[in-house]
Amino acid sequence: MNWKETYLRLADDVAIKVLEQPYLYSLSHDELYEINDEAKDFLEQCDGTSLGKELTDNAEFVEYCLTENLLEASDSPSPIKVPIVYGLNPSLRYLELNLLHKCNLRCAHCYLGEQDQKELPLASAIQITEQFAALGGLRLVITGGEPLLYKKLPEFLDTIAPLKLRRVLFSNGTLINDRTIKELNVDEIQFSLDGWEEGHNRLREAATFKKTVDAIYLAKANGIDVSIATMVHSYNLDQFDRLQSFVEEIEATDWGIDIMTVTGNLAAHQDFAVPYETAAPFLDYGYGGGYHGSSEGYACGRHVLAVLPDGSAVKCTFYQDSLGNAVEDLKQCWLNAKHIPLNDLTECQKCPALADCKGGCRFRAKTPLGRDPFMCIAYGIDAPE
Amino acid sequence: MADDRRIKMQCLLHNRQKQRLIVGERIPVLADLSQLTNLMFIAFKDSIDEDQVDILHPATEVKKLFAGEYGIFLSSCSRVVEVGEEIVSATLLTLWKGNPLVAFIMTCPTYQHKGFARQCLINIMSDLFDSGYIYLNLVVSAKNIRAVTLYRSLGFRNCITDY
Ligand code: SF4
Repeated sequence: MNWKETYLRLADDVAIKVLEQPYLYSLSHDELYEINDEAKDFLEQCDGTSLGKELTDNAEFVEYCLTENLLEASDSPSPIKVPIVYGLNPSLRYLELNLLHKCNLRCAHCYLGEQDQKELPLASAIQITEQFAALGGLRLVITGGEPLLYKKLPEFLDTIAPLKLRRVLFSNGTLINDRTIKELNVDEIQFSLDGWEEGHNRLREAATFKKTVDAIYLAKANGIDVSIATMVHSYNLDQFDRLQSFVEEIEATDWGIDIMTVTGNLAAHQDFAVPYETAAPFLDYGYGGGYHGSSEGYACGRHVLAVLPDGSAVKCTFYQDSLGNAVEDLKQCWLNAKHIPLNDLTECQKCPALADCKGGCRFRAKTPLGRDPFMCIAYGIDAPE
Repeated sequence: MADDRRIKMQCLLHNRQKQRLIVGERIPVLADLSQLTNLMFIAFKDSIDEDQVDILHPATEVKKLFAGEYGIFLSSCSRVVEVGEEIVSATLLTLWKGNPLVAFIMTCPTYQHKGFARQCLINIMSDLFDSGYIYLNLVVSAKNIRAVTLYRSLGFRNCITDY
C-alpha cells in the first residue's frame, strides 16, 4: 500500500508528549522517541482525515513511523483527536502510586516495616492519575503493599484506561488467578521473584514461589507484558543462572536487580543482607530499568515522584518528607521537589564513572551529597571509608 | 507476534572522561579484514541479531564497510579488542548523513559480558567529542533488550529527528 494514497493517523497507543522537548510515546512498547518541532507539527495533523501526500513528502520519516507502528495508514478516513499534552521542565514522567500499605505477605526485607490500614480513596487515586496524565506522565506504577488487596482496583484500572499512560502493576503475584487476571486492565505487571524456589520462599517467609510463577505465566497468556524484580540476598546467590533462563523464557521486558536497603523489616532480618562486594556482580544479570534515560547532569529522581496511601507526595518511598498533598495539587508537589545537579555531589566530582553512575542512590549514600558506597564497588571505584 | 522494530538511537556527545584503555584495544586496519569477517560470523550466528547482517556473506559485509558503502569508514574512531592474536570485539563506525554511526558492534560470544563494547564505546564517544562531533547514532533491534539497556546507560535515546 502506498502511504501517500492512504489516510494517516497516530496509532491508538501513541501520544505526543511535549516535555523538555517534543516526544512521541508508544505505550504498548514503552518507547519514548525524541522528535523535532517539524515532526511534531506533521504528527499533530495525522488525525485520519488527510491523505499522506497532502501532509508531507518526507517518505523516510513516514515509512519509519509506519514500520515502528507509530502511525497507521487506512484506505478510508478514520478521524481521531490527536492526543497531545504539554508537561513541565523538568518533566514528571513516572509516578509511583501506593494505593495501600496492606499486604498478604510479611517478607523479611519489606521496607514498609509495620503495616497500617491507610488506603487511598478511589476518587483520590483517580484524581491524582488524571493530574499526572495532564502533566505529560508516561508510566504509572501502581503499587502498595499488595495492590490486589485494594478492593476497587478493577474499577480504578478501568477508569484510568483511556488516559495515555502505561499502567504498570507491581505485585507479589499470589492473588492473581484465572478470575482476577481478567480484572487487571494494565499494560505490564512487575512480579517480585527473589530466587528460584528456595531463595524466594525464604525471603517471602511463605511457600509462594509456585503461585508467583503460575501468575507470571497467566499474565503472559493474557497478553500482559511481564517484568521481574529480584533482590540479591544471602539465600539466592546460587540461583541467578536458573532465574536467568526463566526470565529469558518468559521474555520479561525488564529484569531489575537490586540490593537490600536496611530499613523496615530488614532491620530484624539482617542475615539476608549480603556484603556489597558480593552483591555487585549480580547487577550484571539485570537489564532494562533505565526507563527512558534520566536527564543529563542530575542525580537519580529527576523525573520520579511517589504518592503514599495518605495522599502525600514524596521523592521516593524511602523518603518520608512530604512535598504536599497530591490529591489537591500534584503539580505543586512536583514543583516542591528538589533536584540534585551532579555538580553538587562533592565526593563524586573526580570519579571517572560519574557520567554513567550519576552518584547512584541518594538514599544509600551516607550523606546527602556523598557517594553511594554500593555503586562505587559496582564501578570498581575506591569506596569511601 | 515477533518484534521486528529497529530503533534509531542518538547520543549527544559530551566531555565524558575516557575509561582506561582495555588491554589489546586499538584502531582497526585493513589487515584485520579476515579476522573481522570471522568475528562477524561467530558474533551474529544464532544470535538475536542474526537477521541484521548478511550472515552467509560476512566477508562482503566487512569489505563493503571498508569500501565506504555504509558511509565513509571512520577507522580512527573505531576500535577492535585483541586477546592474544585474536580480535574478540569490534566497534566499527561510519559517517552517515554527516553524523558518526555505529555500523557494527560485535563481540565473540565467549568474551561477552566483560564490558569490552561498553568501554570501547565510551572511549570512542570521547574521541568523537574531541574531534568536534555532536551526535553519535546507531540502530538497534528492539528485541535486543540488553543492547538497548547498554546504549541507554551510555546516554543514547530513541530518536527520529530526521524530519
Ligand atoms: S561510583 Fe561512587 S564516586 Fe563514582 S559517581 Fe558513583 S557513587 Fe559517586
